[in-house]
Amino acid sequence: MGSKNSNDNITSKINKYLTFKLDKEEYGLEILKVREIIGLIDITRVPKMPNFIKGVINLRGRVLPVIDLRLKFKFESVQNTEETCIIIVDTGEILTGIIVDKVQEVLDISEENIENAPEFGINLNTDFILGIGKVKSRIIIILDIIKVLTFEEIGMLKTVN
Amino acid sequence: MNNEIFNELENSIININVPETLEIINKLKKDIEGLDHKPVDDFLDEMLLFLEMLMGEPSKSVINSLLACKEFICPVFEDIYNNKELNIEQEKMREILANLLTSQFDTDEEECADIEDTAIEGNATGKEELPHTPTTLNEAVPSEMLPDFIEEALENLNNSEVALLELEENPYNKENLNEVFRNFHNIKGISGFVGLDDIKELAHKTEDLLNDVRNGVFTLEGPFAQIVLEALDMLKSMVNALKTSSEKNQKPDGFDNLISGLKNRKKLCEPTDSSDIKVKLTREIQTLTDTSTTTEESKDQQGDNKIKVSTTKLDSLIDAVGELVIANSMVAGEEDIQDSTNQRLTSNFAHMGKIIKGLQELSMGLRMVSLKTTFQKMARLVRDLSVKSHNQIKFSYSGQDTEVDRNVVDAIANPLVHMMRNSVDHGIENPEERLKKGKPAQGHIDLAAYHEGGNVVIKLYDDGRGLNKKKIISKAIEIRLINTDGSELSDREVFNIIFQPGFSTADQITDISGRGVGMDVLKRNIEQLRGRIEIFSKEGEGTTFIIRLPLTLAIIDAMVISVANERYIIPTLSIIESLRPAPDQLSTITGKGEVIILRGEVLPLFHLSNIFDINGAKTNPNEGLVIIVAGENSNYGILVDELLGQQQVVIKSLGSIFSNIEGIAGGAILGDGKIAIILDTARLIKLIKSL
Repeated sequence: MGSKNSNDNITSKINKYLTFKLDKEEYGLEILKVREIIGLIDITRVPKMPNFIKGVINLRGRVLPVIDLRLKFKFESVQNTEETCIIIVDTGEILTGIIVDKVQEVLDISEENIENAPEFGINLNTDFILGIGKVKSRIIIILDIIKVLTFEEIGMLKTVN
Repeated sequence: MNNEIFNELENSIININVPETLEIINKLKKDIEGLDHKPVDDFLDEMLLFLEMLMGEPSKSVINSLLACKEFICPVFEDIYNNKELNIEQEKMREILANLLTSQFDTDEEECADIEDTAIEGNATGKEELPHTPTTLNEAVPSEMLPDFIEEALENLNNSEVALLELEENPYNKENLNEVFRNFHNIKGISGFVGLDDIKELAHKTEDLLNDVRNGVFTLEGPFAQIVLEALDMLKSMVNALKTSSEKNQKPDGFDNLISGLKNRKKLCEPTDSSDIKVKLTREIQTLTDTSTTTEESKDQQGDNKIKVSTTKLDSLIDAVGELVIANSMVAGEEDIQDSTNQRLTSNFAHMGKIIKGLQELSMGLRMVSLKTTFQKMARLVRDLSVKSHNQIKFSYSGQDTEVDRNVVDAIANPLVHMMRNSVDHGIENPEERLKKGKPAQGHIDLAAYHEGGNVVIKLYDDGRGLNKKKIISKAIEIRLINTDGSELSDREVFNIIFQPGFSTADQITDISGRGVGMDVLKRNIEQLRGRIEIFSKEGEGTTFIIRLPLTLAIIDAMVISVANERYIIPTLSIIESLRPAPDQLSTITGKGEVIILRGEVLPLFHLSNIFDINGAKTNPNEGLVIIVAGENSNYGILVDELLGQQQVVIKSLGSIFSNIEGIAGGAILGDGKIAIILDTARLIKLIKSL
């Protein structure tokens, strides 16, 4: 891995993250979990689901569920723009699409630049945050995408084989 | 009869000219046929069989054995021509040589040399004990060889079982007997080759018994048939055990007993006590739910040439064809293609479409497998169950050549086993009771399969007790399933009660059935296959189960309907009828519940737009389309806007996230690439009731 400082190599790992925007905040996903990025395509609504589960899409013959991350994080819903994308994420068991406002770039962030998420107490559950990354003056909220996609709201737990 | 032909025979043997030897022996057979001399005719059959199975260069011991046979036949033929019967010594000699030929398939030359020596000296008493093939593999069997061995052995065992069951009905059928013998013989050979001594020993001892049967020493009836079946079962379980570990497994319980039982088979003629007959039901379940790794058997009556293909490759192929069909529809839907003025383009495209359609039909056919093996397994099950429950049952079946999708065959096995057990255990009465009722002492269970209207129908009929409505109702009241006296329920509704979880009217629980966990699982299994199950029964006369299943699980025939701007799919199998109701067919109950009146029946009516929160749909049933479907206990109507068409769709699972929604069976990709949700009308009613 290209590294600028030999010290970094020895003392901390550098991982790549795909960053994207939701409203004014920036988030990051481990790049290894990202399968592909596509523009918005027709989403078929599946009834009787919480509002953040938008439905399913047809990706080259495969049927994948799609989540609206804004609604999952309880932001207000906004109009889709040209920059709205679907990131296809591989959780190891299934592929899922997540709708985000804008995809930014792939960033290298070293471990030492990632801090643990601050605790807000019971008012805000931050289990799904792996850490807060700092790059120059930007704050990147690094998500544990598997936890994000665990839907206790529907009373569903991942089945263990 | 001159000696020329025998000189030719000797030459052909010494020069290892197998085809010529075959020819000469065939000639000899023709000569003897006219003279009607069975033992020698059979012996020549043996030689032919042996020669046909000979592979590669025959070893020295094989050649010596053949020469010994030739030495034997020559004077015997003379005698026969002079109208003399085989004397005792000659008879013995013939036996020895016949066994010699069959034992020649072992690879160890030394053993064979021993036997051939004693045979020629005429000292042997008939069946030689073969020492275990010394194995050159003294550790675990090489794992590459195992899967092929397992596959072949299981195939042999299945073929034997079928022939054995037929033999039980008709013990004198030579073809079936030879089939069983050949299969055990083969297992002996291949297990010896991979060094599985225990399996080889069991196969060998059984083969010895079968050989006695072939030679007329015993008939394959009663205890003889039973012990062969036991050997077969044990071999099956030993082979199946190999799937999990390639170490030479421990001998299963009862192995030594079985071996000594086979060795001391002459004692089987004496009456055995019933505790010797062990019917291991747990292993039955295993064998019934086991599926072989090949798609079809390699030889059938028509002599069709077949090859074995791994099912993963086959499934991938079929998936790929499915994708091709979808991609083709997507291109076909493009305006540029539809409105094109380019003659060549449109005609080529149409041509391509035809080819793709043909490819689709071919690939769907690839997955189709006949119900034959399943039905044959049922025959075995009924036999074993009736022995255990001391009832006499005649089992008949028809339509075993009906073809269904592979997955359906796999999935139907368990439900059928369950229904079969219910019939044997709760349905068919014991002989005394039956006679009292004026029925024949022997109960009758019939299994039939046929295609009807694009589906497979499987009917299971028994002429037993039938379902007792009063008992069902009283039990239902007892466990508070219903809170009325049940008199208003239709037959169908009463019978459907038995599908409730935990329901059972059995007074005793046997280990065959009665625990009340079966029927609801059965119904669920069938519904998971997108099928339907109905019960018809008349108390005292019998019960019929009718299972309807789609021909394939992957592709269904469906109607595409629209509600506002959303499209949904209802499988044709689920639709009872569809209509645009006239005003006088509609009504409301207490101002809130809508109903539709069809031929005197009052059915509840629901709007799909209400069930699924769809805005902008038609609300007046007179302007929309009402689709009548089957719910749990009765039919109901669903109001939609329009029928868009009927087509075959590829079913795709939506994923585990959506698995909890009652009423959604999956998704289908339509011609324009968009997904439409497939309704599961049987479960949809549950969702409606919970709203």
